[in-house]
Amino acid sequence: MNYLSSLKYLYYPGCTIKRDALEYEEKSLLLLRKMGIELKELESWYCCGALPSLAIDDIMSYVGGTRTLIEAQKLIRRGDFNGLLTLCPMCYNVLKRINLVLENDPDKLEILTEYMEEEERYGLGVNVVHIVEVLAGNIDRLKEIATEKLTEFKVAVYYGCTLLRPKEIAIDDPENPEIIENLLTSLEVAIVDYPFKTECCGSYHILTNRNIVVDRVKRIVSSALRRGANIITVVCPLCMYNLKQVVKEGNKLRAMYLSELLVHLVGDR
Amino acid sequence: MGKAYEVPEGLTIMKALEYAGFRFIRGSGCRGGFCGACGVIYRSPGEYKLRVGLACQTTVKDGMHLAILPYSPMVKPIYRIDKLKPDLGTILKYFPEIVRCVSCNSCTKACPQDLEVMEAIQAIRQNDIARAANLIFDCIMCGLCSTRCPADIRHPYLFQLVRRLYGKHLLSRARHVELRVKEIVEGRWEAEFSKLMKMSVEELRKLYTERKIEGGEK
Repeated sequence: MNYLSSLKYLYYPGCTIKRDALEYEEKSLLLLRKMGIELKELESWYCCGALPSLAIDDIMSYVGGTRTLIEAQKLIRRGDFNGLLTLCPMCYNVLKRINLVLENDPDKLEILTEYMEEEERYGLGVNVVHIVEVLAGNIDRLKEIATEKLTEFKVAVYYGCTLLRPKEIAIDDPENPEIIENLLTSLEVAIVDYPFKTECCGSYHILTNRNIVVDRVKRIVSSALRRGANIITVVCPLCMYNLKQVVKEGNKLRAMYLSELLVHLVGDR
Repeated sequence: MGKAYEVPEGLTIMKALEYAGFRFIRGSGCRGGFCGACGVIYRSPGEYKLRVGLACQTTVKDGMHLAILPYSPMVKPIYRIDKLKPDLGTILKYFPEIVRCVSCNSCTKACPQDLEVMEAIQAIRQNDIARAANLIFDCIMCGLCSTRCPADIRHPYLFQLVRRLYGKHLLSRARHVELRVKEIVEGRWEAEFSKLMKMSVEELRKLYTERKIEGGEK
């Protein structure tokens, strides 16, 4: 896994980042720049579809993601990039799973290659990474620039689902992930442990039945609150949107993107 | 259409149909590949693919099966452009189908203008209205991409909205045009015009040939 300590990545923003999570992008890019990690946004990129298709013959839903991987492949050939970085866990999940499907099922890669006749063949070589992995892989760089102490913060980490499931693509132990806690602990940020850090927020049920989301988020948030958290940190725009159905401005508990929290730590509010 | 006709080699589909005795009352316009009125769908012998093109720009091939599309049916949204915000939210309100794009690229392959249609749809998804507007500036609204789109996107009207949003809200205003319009309204050029209006054809011709041409002054 030594590619994670590399300093030059291609960047795939994803559609949600560009409209509904602009502050997540801004803080993340600022943080990585301060850490000396260079990003280059893909010249062309395509909607990943947000959810991986689970139907076995639904190859059409892989087309957008595969095109993005091919774009990355072209740039990796020309430059010294070690992977394709994502901010949105859903993009991470979909791209990573497309890699997995195509690796394990050469027929599908063949069909896609035939179908995308105007494109070059995808050679399966693009490492998809999530920003959390890059941050955790470069803790020393973070420590170097972390000038502030966040003594007032008591942080509950909320992972959500798509960074951890299925286990083949998980960035950490899917049952008991600690990658973000370890990162924050080493930066002397106080962590609050609670049992719902991998509980689903309700995801796209927000579109059809808001109550499902509100019920689930209440459970997650009240548990974090009971254990003394005043920050709940997330890495997913959809988790954030859903948490904000319950967590409002001025509440005792604030919802904050991990990047925003870390930007506080490097003294750039 | 649906019947066999013998036509000379090298004709465009439009001319071949006229040669065969058809007279166009729809599905024909500028005859120069610019108006987008003469969309045609066809299959060639030995080829399984359904292809599209403009009848005035595509030459006939032996054994070709074809049909002219008089119009690409789609519902047109009504809006007040000056009241809209130039962003993805606005576009999703009128064209929610764009999120169904699976990047199949059928639209790009159908485009007789060789535009990067799929790139434009994705640019809209990425909230980059300016990039999208520039990518589809040369759209002639023939609707052929829409006939091939599995997501049922209404490209002509969508792109029209994108260009309007870009022109109305994102491009900087042309101050020189406003100033010139003001001059005209205030009558600054009235005397000059009435002088011209009274001139004979010979005088006008002399004036025209002797006019100053930008970069060409002696």
